Formats: sequence, C-alpha cells, structure tokens
Amino acid sequence: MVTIRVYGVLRLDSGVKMLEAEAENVQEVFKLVFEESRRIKPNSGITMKDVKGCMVVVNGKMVKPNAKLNHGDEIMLVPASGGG
Amino acid sequence: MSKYSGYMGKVAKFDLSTGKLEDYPWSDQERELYIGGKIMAAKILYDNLTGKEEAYSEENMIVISTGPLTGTGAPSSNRFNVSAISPQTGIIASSNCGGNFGYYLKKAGYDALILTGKCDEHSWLEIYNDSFVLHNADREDVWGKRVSEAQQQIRDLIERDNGCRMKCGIVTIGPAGENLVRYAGIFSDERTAGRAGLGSVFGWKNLKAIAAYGNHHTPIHNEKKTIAWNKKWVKYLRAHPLTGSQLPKLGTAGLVSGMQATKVLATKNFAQGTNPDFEKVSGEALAEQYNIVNKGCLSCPMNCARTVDVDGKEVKGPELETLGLLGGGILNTDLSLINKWNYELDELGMDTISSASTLAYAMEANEKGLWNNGLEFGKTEGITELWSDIAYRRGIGDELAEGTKRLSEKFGGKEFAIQSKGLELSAYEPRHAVGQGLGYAVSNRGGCHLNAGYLVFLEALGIRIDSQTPKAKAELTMFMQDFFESVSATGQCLFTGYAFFPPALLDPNNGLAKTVNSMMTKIAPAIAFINKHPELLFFPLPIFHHDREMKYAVGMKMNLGKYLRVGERGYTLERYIDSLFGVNGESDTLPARLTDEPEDPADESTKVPLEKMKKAYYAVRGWNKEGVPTESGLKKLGIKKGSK
Repeated sequence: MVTIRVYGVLRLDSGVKMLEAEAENVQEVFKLVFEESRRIKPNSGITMKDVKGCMVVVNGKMVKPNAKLNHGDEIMLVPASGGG
Repeated sequence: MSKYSGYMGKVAKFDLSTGKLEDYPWSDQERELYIGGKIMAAKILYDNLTGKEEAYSEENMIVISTGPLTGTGAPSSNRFNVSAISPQTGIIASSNCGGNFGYYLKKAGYDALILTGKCDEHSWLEIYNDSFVLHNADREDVWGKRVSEAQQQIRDLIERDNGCRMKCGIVTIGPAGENLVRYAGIFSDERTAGRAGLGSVFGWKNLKAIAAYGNHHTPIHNEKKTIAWNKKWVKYLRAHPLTGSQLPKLGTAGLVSGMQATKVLATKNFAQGTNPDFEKVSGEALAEQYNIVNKGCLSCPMNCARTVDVDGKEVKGPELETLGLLGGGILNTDLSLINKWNYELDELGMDTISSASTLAYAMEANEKGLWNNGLEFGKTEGITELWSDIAYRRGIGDELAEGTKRLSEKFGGKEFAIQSKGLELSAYEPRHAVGQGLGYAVSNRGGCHLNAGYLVFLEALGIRIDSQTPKAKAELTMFMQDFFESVSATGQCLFTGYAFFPPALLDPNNGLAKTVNSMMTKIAPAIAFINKHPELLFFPLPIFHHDREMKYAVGMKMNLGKYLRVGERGYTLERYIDSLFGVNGESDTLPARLTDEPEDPADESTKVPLEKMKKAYYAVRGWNKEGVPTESGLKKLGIKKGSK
C-alpha cells in the first residue's frame, strides 16, 4: 500500500486529492490517478499526459517515472508552476 | 511629443517644496534606448543623482513611470513602476505595481512623474491633466488613515470638488509610510509597490497620496493590427499551462506545493527548505477553503489575484511570498491568520515579505538568546497587534520597523539575517536552486527574487535544469534578468514571460524536456554568446509575442534580441548607479546560513557556491572584477557618451 497525494492544477482539475492503493512503481501511480480522475470527474478533460507531466516525489525525494515503490511510500504528484 | 504611439509624449517634473511644475525633456532616442518603466526611471535618476543622496532627503527623487503598452489593451500591461533611493538599502530601488494608477497617469497625459523636494505640510497631490494641486492632508482628513480609507476619502474629495464621481487612479501610503517604517509600500487599489520601502520616502516627503485622472487617450499605432494581435496573444496565454491554468486557478499561491517538492520552500527563517505542514498553508488549501473569486489587474487575462473573506469582508488574498513567509517561515499553520495578516499589512501599508522576514529574524534572535523580545516560532498570539505596533512604531514594533539588516547589526545574528544589501529575501530558499542564490546576491535592489532573474523557475518549479551545479547559472541569470527588465519596461507583467517557455519543456518526464534541460547547464558558452550578441535574435519567434505588440501598438521595431539589449542596458545602468552609491562585489552577499551551511547536512552541494558564481557573473556581464560596469561597457550600451 502506498499513499498518493496530488497537488496543483491537477488536483483542482481531476478532483483527486489523496489515494491509498497498491502500486509497485510510478507508472502504476499515474494509471491509478488517471482512473480515479475519470471516476470522480469523467468530463474533466484530464489526460494521461497531464498526469505523467508531473514531478514525482517519493518520501521527499524526486524520482524518475520508472522508479519502483515500496510498501508505505508517500508519493507527491506536482505539476510545473510559475509565478513571482 | 513623440513619433511613437503608446507614449503620451510628456514627463512631468513637480517640486513638492515649491509647487513648481515643468516638462522634463525625454526624447524619442531615449524612448528607443530605455523604453519606459524601470529603465526609464533609472536613466532619469542617473541624470540627476550624484551618489551622495540619502533616501530621506529632499534630494532623493521619486520617479513614477509607465510603459508604452500601458493603456493600449495589450495583455497584462497596466503596470507602473516607482523608483527612488531606498531607505532599506540606500541604493536605487524599483518597485513595480499592478492596480490602475499607471493607466490613469496616462489619462492625465503623462508617461512619467518626477517628484523632487519635500512638502512643507502633510499633503496629497491631485493631478488632473495639466493641473497639479497639493492639498493639505490633515485638513482634508487624509493623513493618518489606513490605505483603503485614504483611497476612499480622496475619491470622495474629488467627487465633492467635481460634483460627480470621477474615475481616477490613486496611489497612497498607510500609517507605516507616515511613520517611516523602512519597508512601507505604496498602494494602488489593492495592489502594492511593496518592495524596498519607497512608501516611507513618500512619508518622509510628507506626501500621503497622489490621485491622477484626465481625458487623454493612449495613442495606438495600428489599432486594427493591435486588436488582432492582442486576441491572438491572449488565446496563446490562455492555452499555456502556467498563464492559462495554474495562475488563473491557483494564483502564485499555487507555487507552495512545487516549492515543497523541490525543497525551496523557506521554512523557519530559512533553516530548512521544506515545511512538514505545508499543506495547511498552501495554494490548494487557499483555493479549496477560502478563495471567493479570482481577480486580475486591468487588461489582464490571467486573473492571478485571490479574494478571501476576512471578518465578513471580501479582500485580497495572500500571494505566495506571504503564504510561505508567514506560514512555514515562522512555523504558523493557520491559513485564516495569514489571510487576516495579509489584509492588515496592506491596510497599514507594509511590504509583507520584509514584515514576515523581519519577524522570523526576531523570533530566531530570541530563540538564540540574542534579543529577549518574547517572539517565538509557532506562537501566533499577539502578532496581529504587533503589525500595528510596527506601523505606529510602538514598543518592540519601533525596533522591528528598522528591518532585518539593521536589527542584526544591533543584536547580532547576521548569519541568519535573511537579507541582501538590506532587502529581505522572498520565500524561495536558494540552497536547492543555487542560481537563484546568485541572483538574490547580485540583484540591483537587494534580495529580490524577480530582480534576481528568477532562476528558481528554471532550476525547480517550471523547467528542471540541474539545481545544484554552478555551471551556466551566471549566463542564465543574465539572460533572465535582461529579459524581465525589458518586459517590465514596456508596462507588462513579468508573468507574460512564462509563456515564452513551451509547455513541452515544463513536463519533466518528456524526452525533449529532459534533453534540453540536461543540455542547458552544459552550453554556458553558447548562452554567453547570445548574451553578448543578442542582435542575432532578430527574427520573430512563435513563442515570443512581445515584439509584435510593440510594433503594432507603439510603432517601434523590436525583436527578442533588441529586448535583451534594452534589458542589459537597464540592468547595467541600475548597477552603475548602485556603484556610485558604493556598491561593488563585496556588497553582493548572502547570509552565511545559505552559503556555508548545507540545507541537507548529508549533502555538501546543498549550499550556494556564491563566490564562484559571482566571478563568472561579472565576467559574463563584462563588468570588472569588483563587479562594477566598465567605461567601455557603458559606452557600448549607449549609457555614457563622455565622462560624468
């Protein structure tokens, strides 16, 4: 079991805030978030590309999209942002 | 008059001591070299200051300047700039603001306003076309008022005198400016020229406010093409993930979670780059729990401002810097308090960044036993009252009104006084974005994230280049500083610049982005070459819209290369003025916490290798080893003809 937290516009647009699920790697996390988004907001227009375009942080460390996960991992999905 | 559209063709110079109004000469050649806004202001200050003036003196001049795109309907173009010698830094400061004052200053017929001298009594200035009238601010019950009350009072006075409600732009200071709090701001509606304490320069000059209105119209070179281009550009901005989605939906507050993810979220007075409680004080929490409606400045399609409820009143919500520094910065987890403090600081007329950072310094000084002031991290009781004590200089508020640098000189703790050249840093912790650290240190107005070049956008939040290497950071800093400098000079918001970066580069898992981002720090010589020869970028780029806006609305031929050159001229000129006031490489510093202590004790690379990057930066800029622009460089840029 891992905990996935979604941030930024992806959270607002997808309606997905937090998920607890089984996932062995980051690709599965992307899939889980995308499917949850389709379930919560079927007409949101969110695509898999939007989900995969996020930074992925596991237990406070940035990881690559092919990273493996362990039981109890805390995952953040964060889209790019800019401001001032 | 000017051969160019976009400009009103007049600059007013008004002596507050004598009430004398004169036209200040400003030629088309100067418009081409300096465009407007902060660069125009720098040129005016350069021509009039010697390097001996003090912030609180009759000799200090205030220049309020617009850009040629202000009033043309160009996206996000109604900003204005205020420049003067800062009471925080003692050097040139430019402070930029949204709101509507720039638009109405042009309605009155002026591109810029120069204020000299000092009012002999508390005053406010009414500008209606060519009529400049100083009113007694005590008799008319304007002095002493909080910001929104003062604005309302002036609107009512103008209505009384005209017999009907007039549309006008007002800038005003609050009690903090009147009482010479060193980080007092200047306010137009709810927007703030907040940085560097120019509100207290108004206060020292006994000037509470300026109202401008009139019946002039900003001329547009080719109206049909301008309207068509504006539509196209707005469509592009709305389709971009940052300017069309993140900024409208979350505002700058939306940066908090990205800063946490990339460890650049200043926490506990910059002791850490992450805040375990960041979710409670994030943009998402603001949007989900408090935001009422999104708002924007005049002619802005981004609507990045938030509105929140404070004590039953709909008011401006906090920006990222306020959330970060009044949240994790002081270990506060109560977002409703930040909303309340943000409003209170605006009404008292204080910069939220410097206010929060000064408070964080005081908490740490107390914690370390350097200053027994009763302030503690995480303890929020009494802070609302403390803001008022600062604005009115009561009790320890009188000490705090001096800002971080002066407090650290008095009580010690310079290593954790988070400021550069006297200006407190913004909420971006630079040890996981070392180029941002370089920018903070060399920034012309002191520790400002934007004047720094905002490399944290390239290193962490938007694009993902190597955040820890010093390689290419000097070159990229110069590029970004010069780019932002020009965008600002036209009157546009810097946020229009984010759409310059194609969406594909914002996706950290996209193959193209990964390649470009990994290349970026390896091609320093190529970036340096572009910085040196921007004229090579003479062709239109689909990602760069600003040049054609200038062509259609103003009639001035521009391209990215010219933008960069004008920006370089502006940045160099400000630095040269700073050097007349004693700035050199020794002034470009960061507190030891950021340069000597790794943010992650297990990773030595998580500190800012400042000295190495500074040397590279001066070389890339063509300045001498002491960090001062050279005579030949100034001549090459057209700043100097003979000797001054």
